[in-house]
This record gives sequence, C-alpha cells and structure tokens, in this order.
Amino acid sequence: MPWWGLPLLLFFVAFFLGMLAVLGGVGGGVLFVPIVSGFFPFHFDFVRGGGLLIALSGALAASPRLLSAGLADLRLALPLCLIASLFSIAGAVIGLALPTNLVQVLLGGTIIVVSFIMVKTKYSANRNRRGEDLLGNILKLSGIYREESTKEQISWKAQNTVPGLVTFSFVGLIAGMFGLGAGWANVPVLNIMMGIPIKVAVGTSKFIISVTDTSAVWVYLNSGAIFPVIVTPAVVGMMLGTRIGVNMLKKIRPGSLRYFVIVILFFAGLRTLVKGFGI
Amino acid sequence: MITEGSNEKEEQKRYARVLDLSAKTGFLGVVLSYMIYLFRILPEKISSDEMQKIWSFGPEYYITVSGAGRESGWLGLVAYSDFLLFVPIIFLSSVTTWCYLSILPVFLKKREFLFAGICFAEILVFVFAAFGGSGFSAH
Repeated sequence: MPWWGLPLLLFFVAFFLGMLAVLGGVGGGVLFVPIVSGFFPFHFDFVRGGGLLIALSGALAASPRLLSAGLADLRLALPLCLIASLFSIAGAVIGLALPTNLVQVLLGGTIIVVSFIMVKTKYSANRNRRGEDLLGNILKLSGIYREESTKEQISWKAQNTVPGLVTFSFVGLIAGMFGLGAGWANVPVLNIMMGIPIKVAVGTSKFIISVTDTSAVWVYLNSGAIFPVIVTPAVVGMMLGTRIGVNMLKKIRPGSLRYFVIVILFFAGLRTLVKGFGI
Repeated sequence: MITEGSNEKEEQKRYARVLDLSAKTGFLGVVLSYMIYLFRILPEKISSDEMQKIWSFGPEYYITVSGAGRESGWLGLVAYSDFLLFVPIIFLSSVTTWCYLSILPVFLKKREFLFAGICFAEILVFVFAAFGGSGFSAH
C-alpha cells in the first residue's frame, strides 16, 4: 500500500464516524479511539492524541454557535472546566506513563461500561428540582434559553454543584488518560445530577470538551504523542462527516441510530480490551 | 439567541466571537498545511518509508528519528512540510487560552472577582500544560 493509503483510509473512517456520532448522539472521540486503535496499526499513544484533537476540533467548531444561542452556558461551564482540565492533565500524564497494554485494557473496559451507561441513561428535557444549592447561588449558575420547538423561554438553575465538581474531576481524568472528549459523561452529570435541561447540558458539555481537551492535548504534544501526518486527515474527515451528519439530522429522527452506535461502541470496546491482552 | 440582558452575558458573546474567528483560522491552516505536505510544496524531513515505521513504533521512535526532541523541538524543523503541520495544530490548541484572555477584562470590569479568579486560574492551567513539558514523557 502506498504511504498515503492508511491516512486516506483514516480520513474516510473518521468521516463516517463523524456522521455516525451526530446521528447517534455521541461524541467523535469515544468512537474514534477504540475503533482506530482496534483496527489500525497506529501506535496507541498517537491514536489517543488524535482522539483528543478530534474531540477538541469538534468542540471548537460547535461552541461559538452554541454559546450565541444560549445552548451552552459559559458561567456554568467555567468552574467545571477548571476542575476537569486540571485532572485531564493528570490523566494524560498517567495515561502516557502506564504500559500501553494496560491502558488499552482499561480503555476497553471503560468503553464497554460507557455503552451500558448509554443504554440505561434516561435524560430529562427539563428538570425542575427543589432545594437550595449554596455554591450554585454564589456563582449564580442559572439561565434562560429559548426552546425552538415550543417557542417558550425555559429558565433553569443548577443543583448539586459541589458533587458536580467532584464528578467532573473524574471525568477530566478519564478524558486525559484515554484521549476522549467525555461528552458521554458530561451530559449525564449536567442533566441528571445538576438538573440542567438536556439541550443546555449537551451544548455546555460540548463547550466543556473544548477546554478540558485543550489542557490534555498539550501533554500529548509535549510528549511527542501527536503525529500530524495521521491526525490531520482524521480531524478533517471528522469535521466534514459531522457537518453532513448535522444536515442529515434535519431529515432523520434524532437518536434513531443511537442503539446501532451503542452496539458498535460495545464491540469496539471489546476489541480494544482483547488487543490489550495481546490477543 | 442569548435571552438575558445583554450586559449579563457580555463575556459569553465575546468568547463566542473570539472563538469563532480563531477556530476558523485554525481549521483553514490545518487544510492548507496538509495540502503543502501532500503536494510536496516543501520538502519533508521524514521519508514515507520511515513515517510508516513511526506510526507503528510510537512517540519515542518519532522523537529519535526526527531529531526534534520534546516540547517545542519541532519549531526548528518548520521549514519541512511534515513539521509545518504542527503550526495549525498548536494554534488550535491555543485558541481556548486566547478566549479566556479576552473575557478576563470583562469580569474585572464588572467587578466579578470570583469569575475573574476562575478565569485566571484556568489560564495558569493552560500555561502549565503547555510549558510544564519537562515533567511529561511518553513511555
């Protein structure tokens, strides 16, 4: 195969994953890392570095519109980002220091758990919780967004801010260690634990990824674990696939491919786990 | 659109503006630099054969073969098309820092010192991640 064969194949795989990620309601990184590490000959460190850059690029592209539309809340995100980005650095350092096989086993196991979480998790459009949240009040973590489907103004107020911060430390650690965007973890924490409406939770999660992954990417860059020759076609492919996926989303029922994606995720996790055991 | 008072979300609007412009510039740079590499407009440092070994052997081999060293070692090799690819990647990795720097004055002007402090702390985290490289190493 000519040298450009595998980067070209990677471009098309990333393109397809970008479409699938949008239609299935997942992030690109959580599909990219286990699938590419399971089926391509690239070193695992390069795949993880690529996964982080893909997640980062997607988040950078989407965040301006999400912030402008009020679907991502900057004030809500800032304290969560600070904790998550600190721990993502730690995760990246730990992940690069551990033996590759061990990290692959841990990643495979995590992806399998993620697929079960995605099956079980029931999101709520609007969660009106009772009770006071002292830290949330101090930080004034509340907002209003316009729900386009019903044309109504939905107000929200964050709850359980301290547990949310603690949980985001683990999310950051996992994101940095495995090269994932961790949207699959951000959204349940924001929606179920902190009572944020699902659309704002998804938008804010995307924004949080842009900050968390920035910190972790620098660790991979400084360690030589970013290989631009393969990262660049993957980033471009994912960005284009995401765009096509968003256009298709207007015609296809949202989440219609969710279970298909969950099955792919499960088998990709299984493949990564098996590869980690040297099989 | 943001539905609260315009002053209350000024920092959010500013962040979005800076991010939009910076991200688009970065992505354009990614595409252009790869075109330069693909069409060999500039020479490459690492041959195609060696490159196929690197992507299997990993970061330590990459650092040894390229002679780039860790952290900012690639800077000295930017005249080569395969290392020029790092420029837009570094730019994209820096975008969030510029965005935070752009909203820090907004929080200070509004005397929201808690959020200004969070913002400043995050900038320090980015700086630590970017320049604390001597403490990080691939296995």
